[in-house]
Amino acid sequence: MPVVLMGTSLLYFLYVLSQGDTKMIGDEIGGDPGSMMLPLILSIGMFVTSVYLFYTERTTGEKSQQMTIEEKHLFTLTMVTAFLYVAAIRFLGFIPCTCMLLFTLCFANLEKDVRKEDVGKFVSGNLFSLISVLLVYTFGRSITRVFLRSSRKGILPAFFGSTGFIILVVFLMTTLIVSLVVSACRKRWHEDNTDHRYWVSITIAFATTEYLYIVFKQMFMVELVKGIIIW
Amino acid sequence: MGSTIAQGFAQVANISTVVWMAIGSVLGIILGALPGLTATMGIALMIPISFQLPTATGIGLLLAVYCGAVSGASIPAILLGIPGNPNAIATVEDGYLMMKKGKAGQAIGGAVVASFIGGVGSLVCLMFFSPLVAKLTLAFGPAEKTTLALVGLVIIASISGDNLAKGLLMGAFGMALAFLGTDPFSGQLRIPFAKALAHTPLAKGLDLTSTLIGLFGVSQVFAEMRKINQKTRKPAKVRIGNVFPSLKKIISMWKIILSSLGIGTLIGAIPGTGASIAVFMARDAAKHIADGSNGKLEPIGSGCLEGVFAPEVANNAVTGGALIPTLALGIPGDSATAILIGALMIKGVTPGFQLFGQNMALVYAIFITMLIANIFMALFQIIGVRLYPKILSVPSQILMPIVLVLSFIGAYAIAGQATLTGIYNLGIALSMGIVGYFLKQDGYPISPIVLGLILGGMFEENFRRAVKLAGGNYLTFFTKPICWFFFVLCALSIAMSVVSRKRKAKKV
Repeated sequence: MPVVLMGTSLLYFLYVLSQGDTKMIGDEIGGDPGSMMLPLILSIGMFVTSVYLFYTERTTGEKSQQMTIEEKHLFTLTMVTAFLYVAAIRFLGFIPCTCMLLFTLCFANLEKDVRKEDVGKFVSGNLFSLISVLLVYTFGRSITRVFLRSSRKGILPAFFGSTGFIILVVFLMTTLIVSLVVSACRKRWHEDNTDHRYWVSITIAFATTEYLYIVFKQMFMVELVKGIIIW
Repeated sequence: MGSTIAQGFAQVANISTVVWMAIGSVLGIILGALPGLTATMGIALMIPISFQLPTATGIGLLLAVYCGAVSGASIPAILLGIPGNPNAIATVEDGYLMMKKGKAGQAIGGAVVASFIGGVGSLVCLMFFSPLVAKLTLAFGPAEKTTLALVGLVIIASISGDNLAKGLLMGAFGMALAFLGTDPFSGQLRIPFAKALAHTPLAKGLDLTSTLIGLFGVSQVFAEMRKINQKTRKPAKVRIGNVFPSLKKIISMWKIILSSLGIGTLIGAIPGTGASIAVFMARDAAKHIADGSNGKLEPIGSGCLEGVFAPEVANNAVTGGALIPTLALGIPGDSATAILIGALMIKGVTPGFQLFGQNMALVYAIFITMLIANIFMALFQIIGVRLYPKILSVPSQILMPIVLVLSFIGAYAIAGQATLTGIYNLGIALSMGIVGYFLKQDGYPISPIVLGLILGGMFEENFRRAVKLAGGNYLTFFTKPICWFFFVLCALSIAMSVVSRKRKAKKV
């Protein structure tokens, strides 16, 4: 790490120099130390400290705890999926990316490893959780539209078209669906085996995605990327 | 003054504040109870939600998470013998012994009562001292403010972690990050590839919330993934039994309560110290008090309520204490309050010099929300006392992916309607998460980076102003007594840190 920090501080020093110095607007009389001074001092200070750490760490450095091969797989998977999430969200959208990230990581973690023979389960699980969340999402959108239109047309009192009421209804509906899925799956797969972990991961993926959508999109009106979900 | 208090009360007297604070409290308790999740991380994850709420409600939500998480850490300490986070590290010995004796309910109930006393007691100190400290700062000019920022940076760098050089290096790294973006005085772009990035959200510098979420949320997920398959201790079947300790017992511990309250508030008020130091000092003081009580109090370490009370009063007293420099000076007491400052700044509120002069109603609103946060913390911990063993059995295999997604959506949501900014924020959170992870793995403390990031702007702005006002004379900092006071504080902090580390090394 000290070598990386030495490199960083050196690059920072060169970058600050390349930027040149600028003075405060209206500094005709002079006196402003300029924009370059503090960053230069910082980069020199960082470099000197990194060099000091490089020499002291070499003598006292301790090795951090080693990961098992399974943990290495899981760690790499987490890093890769996190990268893919950030890279793909603009094109695929919030719902597909979030749902797939959650299923992939939950299932792999619960299985305690990433194995070749689980590829089928990863693919089908991602599809199932995506379909589930899209069904719930479409259902929620329909409810929202029905209430909004009906209240605007005067079929229902204005209260039923208020954001708070619609969020409450969608939230309760989602909770009901999730509860039904959980109780049905619990009866079907009650033992701690791969199938059990598979449905647990699907449920977590679709339920978490839908709840996050309700909170951030419906409650706080954050413009979540739609991506391929165009309806 | 009466009307200002009324205005402050009006800011929080609405159903939305109460509901959000109740949610924050429950979330905080759960976050604190789950090993691996910290108060700092909880606050960082809640900033995007608080950003969408009115200022007082948003701050109330964050304070509720803060108080809940500090107190909730005692639950696994008592039930599993593992502290939820370092705040409850001194509660383990007596709390776990009490659980083994079949007094888990008494231990948790005692911890709740102690946390409430600590929280409310330190709030009284906060209400009394913070306006006084803020008043003193009216005499501060740019030179004094520069050295004050330096004090904050040096103290936190010298205290956090085991290596002074690493702390200082991280503080400098945070400042370097703070300098990215647009120069506040000349408008010049100070980012690499300035031409290419001039029209992107990066031109404004690194988004503070995304950086915090990356450093505390994403990096923690990566760190936990390293040991995801390690066997975790699950709570055995716990008999909760009676929850509340008797009033007589509480009164008999008044000396322990007062000393822990004083220690917690004082330690909390010193920037960079935090609860993990206060709890051991309080426990040590309580040990002396119990030993000298002629048998009236049970000896600390024997599985007694005294051993739970002392650290729990102290760690919650830290919450109020840490808010004194946070609100009055804009210098955070610990990493959690550093994030609170970030949240206030996002809301356009600058803590410190101006807050007490210009927005006293908000200050009172913060005091009131702090009181509500403590009441909710006690209430929800008592109500949910029988649920905690179940919460503790949620595996981190499920928890960590959810935390990762929460971190990402938190960084994204802060951009609101601007989707492109949101995507840039995601990139910042991920990059900072990776940086934070590798730094943590090598024993570099993260808190000084946050301090550098928050105080860097204040430092540069006041430094340049001070030198400009002095006509380019850099010695201006050595001509003012307040600056000298701060320089001495910096030197003392470094000296004490070196001495204590040498002592520690000798002991080992």
